[in-house]
Amino acid sequence: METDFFDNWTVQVRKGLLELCILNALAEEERYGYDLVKTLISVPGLGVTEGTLYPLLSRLRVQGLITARLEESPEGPARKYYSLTRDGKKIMAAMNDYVDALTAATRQVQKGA
Amino acid sequence: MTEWTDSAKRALDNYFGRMRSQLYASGADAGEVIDDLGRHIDQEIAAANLRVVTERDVQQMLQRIGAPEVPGGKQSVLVVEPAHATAPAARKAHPLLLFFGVLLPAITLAVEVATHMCAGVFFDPIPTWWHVILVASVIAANLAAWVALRHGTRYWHATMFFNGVAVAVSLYFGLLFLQLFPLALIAIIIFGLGLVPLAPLFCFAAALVVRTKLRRLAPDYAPRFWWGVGAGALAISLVAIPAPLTRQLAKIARSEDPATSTRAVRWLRAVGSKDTLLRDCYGGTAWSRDPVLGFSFVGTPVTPEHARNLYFRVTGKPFNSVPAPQRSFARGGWDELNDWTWDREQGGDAVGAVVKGVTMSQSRLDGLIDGDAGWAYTEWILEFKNVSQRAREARAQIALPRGGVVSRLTLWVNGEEREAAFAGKEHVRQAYREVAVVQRRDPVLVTSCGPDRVLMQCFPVPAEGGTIKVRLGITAPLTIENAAEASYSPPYFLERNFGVPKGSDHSLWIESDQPLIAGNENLAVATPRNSRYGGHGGIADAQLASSRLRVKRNPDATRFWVADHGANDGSAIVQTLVQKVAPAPKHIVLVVDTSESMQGHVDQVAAALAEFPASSLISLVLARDGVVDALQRSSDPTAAMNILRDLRPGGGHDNVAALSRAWDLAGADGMVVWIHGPQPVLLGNLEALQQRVFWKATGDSTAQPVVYDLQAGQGPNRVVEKLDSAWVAFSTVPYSGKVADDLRLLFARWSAGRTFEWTRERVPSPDGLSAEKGSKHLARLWAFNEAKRFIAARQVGNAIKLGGTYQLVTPVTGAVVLESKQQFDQAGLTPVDSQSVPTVPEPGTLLLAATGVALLYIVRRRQKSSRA
Repeated sequence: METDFFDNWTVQVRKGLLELCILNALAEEERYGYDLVKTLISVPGLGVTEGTLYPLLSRLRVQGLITARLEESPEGPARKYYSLTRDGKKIMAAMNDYVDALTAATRQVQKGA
Repeated sequence: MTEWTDSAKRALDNYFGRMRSQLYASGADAGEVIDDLGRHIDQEIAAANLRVVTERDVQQMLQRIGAPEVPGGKQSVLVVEPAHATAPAARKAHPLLLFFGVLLPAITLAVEVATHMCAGVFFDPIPTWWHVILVASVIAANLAAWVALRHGTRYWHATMFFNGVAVAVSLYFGLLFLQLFPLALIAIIIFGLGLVPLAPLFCFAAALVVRTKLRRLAPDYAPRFWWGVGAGALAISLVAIPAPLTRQLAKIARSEDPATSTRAVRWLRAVGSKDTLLRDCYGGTAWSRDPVLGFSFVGTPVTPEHARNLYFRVTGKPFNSVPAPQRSFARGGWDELNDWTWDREQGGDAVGAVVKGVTMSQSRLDGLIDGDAGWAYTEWILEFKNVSQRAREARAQIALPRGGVVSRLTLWVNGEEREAAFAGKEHVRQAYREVAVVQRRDPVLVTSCGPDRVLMQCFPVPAEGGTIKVRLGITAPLTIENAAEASYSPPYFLERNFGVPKGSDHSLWIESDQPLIAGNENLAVATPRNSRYGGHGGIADAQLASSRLRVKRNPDATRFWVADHGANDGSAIVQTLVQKVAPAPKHIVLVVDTSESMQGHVDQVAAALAEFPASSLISLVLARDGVVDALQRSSDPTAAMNILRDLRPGGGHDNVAALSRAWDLAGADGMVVWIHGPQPVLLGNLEALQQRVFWKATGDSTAQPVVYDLQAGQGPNRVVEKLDSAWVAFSTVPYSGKVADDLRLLFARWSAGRTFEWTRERVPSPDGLSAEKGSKHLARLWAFNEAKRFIAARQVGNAIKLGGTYQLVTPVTGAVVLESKQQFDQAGLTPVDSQSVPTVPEPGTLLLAATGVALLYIVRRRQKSSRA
């Protein structure tokens, strides 16, 4: 029972943070999809698969937060490069601030208790 | 290079298929996600260095990748089965959508195609099969969308696209039927019916509802809808707009302002629908005119007469020279093609529209040629068949050999031959109308309709497979090419209101005592037998006009006489071949028609100018949406050649104004050569040209040009047809099939400086004449020319008397065969004695043959009795 509750809760938290993780992964530089997805999959605790990440990337692109471009690669299939848009950067900053504030608030409540 | 096994490919395709139907609600672009995943898998394979990808490899990769996560729910749900996606959609695909979007329009379309209900009563919503396909595509698109809403689909792009097509097309048809909305409401209220005329509106509404539901389910594919709307609008533009656009332009072309009219005609040539114009040439109900966007009743409909004029101006062809529009549906749009409507030209003096079901079932031409005496007599036996449901009149304008005259007319009544009565033109026409139109019995009528042409009409060609058979006898002078050779050309149809089935040839058989030479490949010359020469062949209708036979003649045979059978006073007709010194005209004005029908002929005119008489000046007048003075009194024919080579014939143009202009340019010392295509409608004002011909006929005019009339191809010529005394000024140049050859021959005659001409005169007695005995045809030809002379001198009564006496169809006399003696008596007409008509072979030849048979019989009898 406790395990089920925890699992459900982590799914909710993870789901809410996944988009922020993608935006953060693109904060520094443009990255191509395969590399980006592999990086995020390998993050411990995030527990995502390609089947989840690619739809999210597409949705973020449709929402105008990231852009994508295709580039031919001599080493194999064409590579799709993702980068943040100006809106994406603003949202990412706001989301990070919010998460920081939320974490701080959570800690503060814990100390208070 | 990596290879995929078939099962591996199938496994991946299945995965993508399932994923696509689950992704549409995720807010992601399904196509993009699938592309990305495909690329990802390729990279996985490359990283793993796999040479062969098996189903197992794919399954392992897909297991790792997992299914897409659908956002928006309280819990993260990994959708695996398609059933999860279709369950909510099923509720959205309501059966009413299927009824109004698919079933009702399908029933409506089927009813209209089968019964033509709307076309017959109101307007024709589906005049072509393209319209039917458009409507069917709307029904198919709505059905596909309904299935997609209910069961999901892998083809969202296509579904959205065709939904757009359906909205655009059903909007058009909905607006089209909007005009019937009040009637439909009344029908629903009173009779409980009326859904059918509202079907397009319901269909449009259904397509819009489908559009809303589809957009909710698959928002990422929404842009495809607008592509579909664009494609639907384009399809409507291509299919449905040309007809009303053509009709609007046709209305503008009727403007009194020539510039406006010409502008509209140019637009019609560029964007108009020739098919629509042709259909309007055959009439139609007022409602079927402009069925566009509810404005059917605005403006005056295009009348058949106006449409026929326009059809020529736009296409350059007579409307009845192309097959009549025949379609199995929408018959209400074409009154005249319907079995139970009236042939408005029946009993009139125009050939008019092609009537349904009447064809020429047999055609046979038998002829005699006398090369020495320079005449030909041809009997043309025609049989017509009518497979329609009502009796019809067969009408044709027939071109006679140059200078020819109809000298016999026969109708077969119950298998018996009945000869014609020859009398004044109005007299015989009145008798024909009385019998054909009022009594609806068996007459045939032949009247003149211009130089070297007659109008033949016979009624009734009985319904349901009935036939009628007639014979025209035509006496004509041969064209003398030089002292030792003459040429013969058979009569042919210029215009007809019946069909000539493919493969129905004209069977031609010509005999002569002089050697014959085939003038072209249409005719073969038989091996001579008993000093007789024959030329025969089966000739297609399109080839008859250009068929030629040349005949050798004795250069010393220059004078013939024959007793004047019309006078019976011992007088005789003497015919003499005269060689005239005729230097080339000082000035030749070429009038060139630039209509579409001259395509290919204009270049030939240019080529023939290489042999233009060296001593003549040349002027060039073009008939092209008015008159173009292209060249005046130049001594350099190459200038005209260059102008002609740059010409691009197109449309149909008025030639009357150009002829008047050429007449004036020719002046006192010039000739006019008019090279043109068929002139099926009279576009310009004929009076100015009529005035010039009138003054020439009086012999007092300062300008006396002759118009050498060379028509390229078969078809009517309303200009010479409507001109009084046209033969005074117009001389037909026989068309051999190649304009260049005909012009070269004309130029060569002028360059040679001499011509051969038959002159005929009446003398009190043949006694002491140094001449050979000739045929009665010489007297007929003399009488024909004499009648024309009387007409020119305004002595019409004398001309009618002469035509009646010599049994000739002249410009003022005609021939009519009625069914019974009673009808002849009532009309005050007397049919000719069957012994007095010309025949093939001639009576003299028949007598000779009978004598031969009798002698042979006597010799055989004697041989038998001596053996006994």
